[in-house]
Amino acid sequence: MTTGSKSIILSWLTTADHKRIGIMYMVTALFFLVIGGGEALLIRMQLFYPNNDLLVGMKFNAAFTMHGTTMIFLVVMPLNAAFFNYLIPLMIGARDVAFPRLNAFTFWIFLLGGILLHVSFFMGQTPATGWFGYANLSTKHFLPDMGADFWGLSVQILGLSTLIASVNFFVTIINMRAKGMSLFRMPLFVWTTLVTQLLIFLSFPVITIALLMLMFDRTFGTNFFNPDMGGNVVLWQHLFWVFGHPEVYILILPPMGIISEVLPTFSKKPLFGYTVVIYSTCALALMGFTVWAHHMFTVGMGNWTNLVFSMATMMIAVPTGVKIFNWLFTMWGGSIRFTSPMLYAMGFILMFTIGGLTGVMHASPPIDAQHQDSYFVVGHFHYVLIGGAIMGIMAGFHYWFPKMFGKMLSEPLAITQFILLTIGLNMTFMSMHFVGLEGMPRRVFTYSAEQGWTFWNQIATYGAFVQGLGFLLFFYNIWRSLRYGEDASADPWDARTLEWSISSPPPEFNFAVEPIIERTDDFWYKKQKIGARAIEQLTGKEQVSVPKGSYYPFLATLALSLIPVGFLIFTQNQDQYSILLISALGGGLLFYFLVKWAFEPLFEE
Amino acid sequence: MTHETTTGIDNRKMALWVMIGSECMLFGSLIINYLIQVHQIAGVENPDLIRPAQVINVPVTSLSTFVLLMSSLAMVLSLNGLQHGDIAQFRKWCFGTAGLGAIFLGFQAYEFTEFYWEGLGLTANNFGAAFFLLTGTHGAHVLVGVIWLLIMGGWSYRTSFQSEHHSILLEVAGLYWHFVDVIWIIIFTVVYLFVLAP
Amino acid sequence: MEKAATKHEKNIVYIKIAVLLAVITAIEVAYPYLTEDIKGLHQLYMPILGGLSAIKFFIVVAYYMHLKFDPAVLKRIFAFSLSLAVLFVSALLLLFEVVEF
Repeated sequence: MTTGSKSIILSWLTTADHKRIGIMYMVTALFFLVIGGGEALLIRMQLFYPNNDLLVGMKFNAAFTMHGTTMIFLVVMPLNAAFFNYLIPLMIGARDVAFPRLNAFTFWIFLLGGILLHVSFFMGQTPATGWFGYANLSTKHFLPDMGADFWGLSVQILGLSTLIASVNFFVTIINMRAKGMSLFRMPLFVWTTLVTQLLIFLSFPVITIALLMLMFDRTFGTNFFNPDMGGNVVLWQHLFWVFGHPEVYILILPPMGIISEVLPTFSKKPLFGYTVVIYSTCALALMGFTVWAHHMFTVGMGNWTNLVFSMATMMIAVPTGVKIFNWLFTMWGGSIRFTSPMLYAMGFILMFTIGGLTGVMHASPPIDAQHQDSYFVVGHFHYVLIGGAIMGIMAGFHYWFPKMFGKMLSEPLAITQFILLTIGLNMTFMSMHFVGLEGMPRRVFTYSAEQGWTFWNQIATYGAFVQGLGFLLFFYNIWRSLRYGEDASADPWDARTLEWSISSPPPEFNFAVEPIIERTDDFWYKKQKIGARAIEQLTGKEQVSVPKGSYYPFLATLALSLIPVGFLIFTQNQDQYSILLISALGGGLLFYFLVKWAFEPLFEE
Repeated sequence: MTHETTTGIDNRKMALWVMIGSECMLFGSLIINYLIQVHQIAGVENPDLIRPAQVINVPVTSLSTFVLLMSSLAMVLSLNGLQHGDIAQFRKWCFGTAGLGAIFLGFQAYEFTEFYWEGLGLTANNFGAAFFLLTGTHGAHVLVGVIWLLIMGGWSYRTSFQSEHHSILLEVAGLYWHFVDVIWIIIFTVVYLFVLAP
Repeated sequence: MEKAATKHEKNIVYIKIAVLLAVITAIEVAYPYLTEDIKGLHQLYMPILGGLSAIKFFIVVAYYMHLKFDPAVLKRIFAFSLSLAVLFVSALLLLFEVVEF
């Protein structure tokens, strides 16, 4: 490899190494976390005083739309994807994913989707539909500017990225495992990833079609969601939530897998009920497809429909409860080390359970009718998304950071951040429950002093800033550790899974000798027998050929970017069909690069 | 350099099956949208609305359906040829499959223009829009398949093509092709034959 | 020349399957015109046509797509996805009252 800044940029641009791609996902997602978090702070500042005028009307709508879309598609999903990318091949003992260049392609189009969504800011045409884009709020009649077009096209592209990645990781996990790594010897994080990919490739096609219909409505004048012309807005809600509910599990299952790795490591015990946790994960995924209409209890689907979906929803508490008890029993009687990953994992259990309890409340249609569209619901899903998903991701981040970057994070800083985050999130989201029960609707930009919502709103805003302070500390900790942190050994936590058997950070080819697996937590038991150092020597010597980089994933993404550009310009000049030639050109170039790519050998000949 | 996989199945083949699973939901969404729109239009009393029975032409589409069905036969014959090292059989039927696919697309182009002249444009009503979206998406899949097969056939004239190493690639292309065909089997029944329901 | 022989055998099998598929398609297309004469076929129109197309669907998947002879993992992927798609379509058919209970 040559040196020089130009070639370093090129080597990242053309890389097909799953570890580098994982790091790129992580950096991008953390960048978007700052943007999405900033939007959240703006929203909370607007709601600090009654009749505040910081962010009113459509600006407020734009803020919560961008906050939701960013946090879901550009923060939590890519952070999960960062862990998939970095860890799945390491955990199953593979040298790379099944399709390394495709993996690079998914990152680049994810980045394209994120950029496209944020270009709308600079054009002053920010989406203001809510992250669910409910038709007919999102149709041309009510939102004539390009905001909803930006939203639809970028979510479409992000969906494409996720779909391709899901095929890749599904095949990787089924097909690239090391010798002896049978399905029921895989680490739990690999299992939850596998199930998540299944959810993705079965639920994302539905939103693809829904977004296509919305695009046809907005761009080509069809009337799928226009009631005046025989359209049906409830159809959007169904299609959206058939995707949207599995999406919730897509967000939360990987963090559940993460804490299922962290808890056994720091309790010095194997995961309690390993197979039961796997089966409850599968059950959750299956049930995730059968409950979508609980988001629509107040639409008027009729009592029988509500009853069926209500019962299905309540049953979700069963596998979830099973998992929570398994985690608790994992800690029971263990010799627990209260490190930062462990604290986050324990925080996950507690916070997620609170969010789960209010979730069971919503499962009852009459109660849901009271909660619908109030801040109570906002409180609920932030408990499961920040108290759950983000806590889990933070556990994973602090746990695997030494592996990924070869440096230890500062424990005191990390623990301080944990305390700030926990206090802050409880201040913010517990208050939302109260103010919701007092009747404050969500998605409104202000309230009057007489309504008596000021106190809890102010607590919520203070809490948001406490969380923000925690994240400042988090970024400082990363910076400090990369600069001054002590070097991490191969296995700093005395952990149980394969990725800790190789150096931190791992060599480009991962495993010099492909590992052979004899049982669950194989590395742990081998350590007891022959010691970690011996294993490291066993796995870290000879040079193995790795996939060479390719320009085509990046070039194909550049070509793909022309397609939305063409459509976006066309939406503003709907009589000039020649503009669509831009999209056609993009499609043609994309096709050309894909063919060139297909005929390019993966390894050096 | 290819690794032996855990299950013994080629990665690309498994990826295509996963993609087929995904496509089941994709076409499921399109079909359900079509059925709902047709159902809703049936409940509207408006003599100007163009309804399925007025435009759907079962005899012509039966022909194109037959063409697509036979293309599936051509596809398996082509793959069978390649798997047994018979390049001539492979080439003949590979181009044959692509040709039959192209004829199918020709039928579809004819059908779309017919509909348009009868007043059923994309925006005329939601039945039409859903119809075009469903059959158009399917047609786009056929187009991709035709190009894919043409590339496979054309590649066989290069020296880099080795029948023993690359028959798996034709198998994957074939899986895609057959899946597009079975989707049409469903569409033909749901969109066309059900119109004739007494 | 064993190779050529199996190739030939397989070709014959594939052609036979194609004939079967063509026959079923012919029945499907002819069916609507038959219903005018025979009363009983009237009510069963949609179930029978749906069933015939399902048979064609599975013949192509099993033999042309070779799934019948493929490892269980591929069968499971397809079976699960297809069942979910059928469930999803059926649920929406009921929800939008396209089909009445």
